[in-house]
Amino acid sequence: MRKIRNIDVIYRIATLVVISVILLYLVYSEAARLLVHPRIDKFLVVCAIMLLIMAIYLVPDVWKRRPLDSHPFKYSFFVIAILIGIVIQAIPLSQSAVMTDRWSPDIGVSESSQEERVTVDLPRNAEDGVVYIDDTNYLHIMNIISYNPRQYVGEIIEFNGFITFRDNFPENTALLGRLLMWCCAADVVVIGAPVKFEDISVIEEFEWLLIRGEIETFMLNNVIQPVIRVINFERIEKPLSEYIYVE
Amino acid sequence: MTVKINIISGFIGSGKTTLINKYINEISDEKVAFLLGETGEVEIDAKDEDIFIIEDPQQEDYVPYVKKIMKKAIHDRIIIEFNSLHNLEKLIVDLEDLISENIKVSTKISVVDGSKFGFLANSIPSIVEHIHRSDLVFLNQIEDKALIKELENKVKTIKRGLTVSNSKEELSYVATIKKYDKSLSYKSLNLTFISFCLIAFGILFRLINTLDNTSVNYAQTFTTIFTGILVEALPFIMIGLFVSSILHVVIPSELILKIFPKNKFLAIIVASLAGLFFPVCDCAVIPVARRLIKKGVDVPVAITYMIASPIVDPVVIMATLYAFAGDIRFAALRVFLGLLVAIIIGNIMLATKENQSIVIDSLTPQTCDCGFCSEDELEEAPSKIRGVFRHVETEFFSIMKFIIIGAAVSGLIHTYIPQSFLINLSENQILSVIILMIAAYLMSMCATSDAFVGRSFINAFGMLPVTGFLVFGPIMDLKNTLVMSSMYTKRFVLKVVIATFIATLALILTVAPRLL
Repeated sequence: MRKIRNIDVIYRIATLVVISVILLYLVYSEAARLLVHPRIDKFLVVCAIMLLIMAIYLVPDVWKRRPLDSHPFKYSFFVIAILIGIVIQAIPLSQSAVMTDRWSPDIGVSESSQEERVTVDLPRNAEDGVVYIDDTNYLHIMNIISYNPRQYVGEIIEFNGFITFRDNFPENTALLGRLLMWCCAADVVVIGAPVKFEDISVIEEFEWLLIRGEIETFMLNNVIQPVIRVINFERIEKPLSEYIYVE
Repeated sequence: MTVKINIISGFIGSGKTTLINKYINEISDEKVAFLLGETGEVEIDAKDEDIFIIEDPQQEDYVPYVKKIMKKAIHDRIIIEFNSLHNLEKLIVDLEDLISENIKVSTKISVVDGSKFGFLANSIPSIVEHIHRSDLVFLNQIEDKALIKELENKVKTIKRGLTVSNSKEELSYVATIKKYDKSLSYKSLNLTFISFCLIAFGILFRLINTLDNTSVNYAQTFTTIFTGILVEALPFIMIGLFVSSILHVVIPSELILKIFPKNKFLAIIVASLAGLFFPVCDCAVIPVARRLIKKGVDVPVAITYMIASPIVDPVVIMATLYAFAGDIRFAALRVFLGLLVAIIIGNIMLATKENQSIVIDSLTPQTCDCGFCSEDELEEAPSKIRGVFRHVETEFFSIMKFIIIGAAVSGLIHTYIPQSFLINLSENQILSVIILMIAAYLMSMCATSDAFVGRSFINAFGMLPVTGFLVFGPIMDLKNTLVMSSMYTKRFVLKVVIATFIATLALILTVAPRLL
């Protein structure tokens, strides 16, 4: 058997293969859903294949003279990054305390503003007139409502989300929202609307609820915001996909 | 006992023997043998029995002499005096074949005649290789402090982190050489590295088990954001590296140079708009711009393309339109001001006559071993595809540590600095613009996704600061600054970061209010 002369190349091959396997694992186990948008998946698979090809091209160098000044500690960045990912497991950010901070009163309109923004009709159900909001139209409808809340006062909407309490909200009011991801976990924000209960004490923070309510408005930081007065609600299991991915 | 080998290389007359004699004066507790590849005017101040002269240096076969010295078994150290015209790599590799428990190659020193460095570096490529292979460069025969500083910077572009000393410094050669002696042998380094990995795993595991629930939650949030940034950036970094390598291996320089007009100002304008037709995201564009410079494209033109490309990317424009519910003002301002910033920076680079010397490229034809280090080799190359993959692999390892550091810092900021903290700082308009620009820089978000985060600041900060956030974020962020610092000189990176910040701030405060 030929003598292995280039241990540095073995480190490189190992690094490339490990990263490649991690990427494929993330995609095929769907663990990547916590980290990146599903549209990135195909890029991750291609990237994993490219890394493997790079590793294969390196193999013959194992028996060649090693490069000078090679030093295994230059791979410690990869090791630490991989160890962090393994030891401290990623979580859905709806379970993160940090996320309660990731909603700020949306665009809304100021009280003095006479600006008439372009408005559109909400997609009411033909039978009961309720606006049903699901994952496919969540962002779109929340966008419309928050952009010009006065226009939609009196509309009945039904939507789900997890509850977070906020110090600057009026009594019995909390935020019901979902997490919105554009690309990766770093750009996740909470999208949703304040909801007003008759008695909020029966609700716990981070509970998942399906709420039907009527759109009203209230003032928050000198901006008119929509608030959904709860007509009825039910506790639900958190959905399979906690995030709403923007296409 | 381990015998250490030091190699002191340089041209005849550069001062190698003088340096060795200084070293001998400092050393007293070691028995040193001297292996001389040439004999100059200065004689080594040592006993004849310790001096070995290579009879035919042209053959460059030092191994039999080293074996002869080892056989005597009376020396603690061997110092090889080596001419810069000879093949240093061959010598080191030959010596590495001898490495065992009893012998190891220690400090390698290049002695450079500072007064002739510029001429020699251009006319004799092996000097660059010698410096690249060295642990310490000693600049000799040069007194002027400004010139010393200039040469030091030049030498450090050949190899980052190199220790450079000069004849004006009171350098302790013994201390410097012994510092490298202390470094472990490669074999024990491997064992240490594996131990390091296991200990790091143990510490992390132990740490996470001692934290309370809230701290664990924060740590997990950090991991989610940190790995999210890394995983999302990885494919796009790879795209950039592949584009860069294809440019390098497949496309001849002449073809690339034809794209840009000869008039430099016009070339800057073309570069600013090139991203519309050849969009590359902010992660990927940095290696592409570096490759353009290496292909002969002027620095101002390549940097203009680097700054403008992520912001005129059609995907970024559509995402901005969507985030602001069809309000065209933000998308239009983002593109318009982004292009203006790129053109301004391009002209600053033109005015300050930046050239190829800003590029740090450890893969010079003298030091690269991937087979595609010079365009002259393209015709002889057995496979261009292999060349592309090898180049991607080499660059991947050189920039990934900066991506990892950038993602970690960004993850910490996302996790531990609440947005409400930023909002509380939003009282003054100019300060608000600055705060959101710094936030965009530190958060290091992808240009296609930052619009929605920017939008969430509208009520607290107002339209102007959010425009600053949207314009500056794709142009410059922490992660990309770190990647740039692996490719360009520190001075240049600092200049680009400061110039883009000031240009963006000035445009946001003067032009944007008229258009919003």
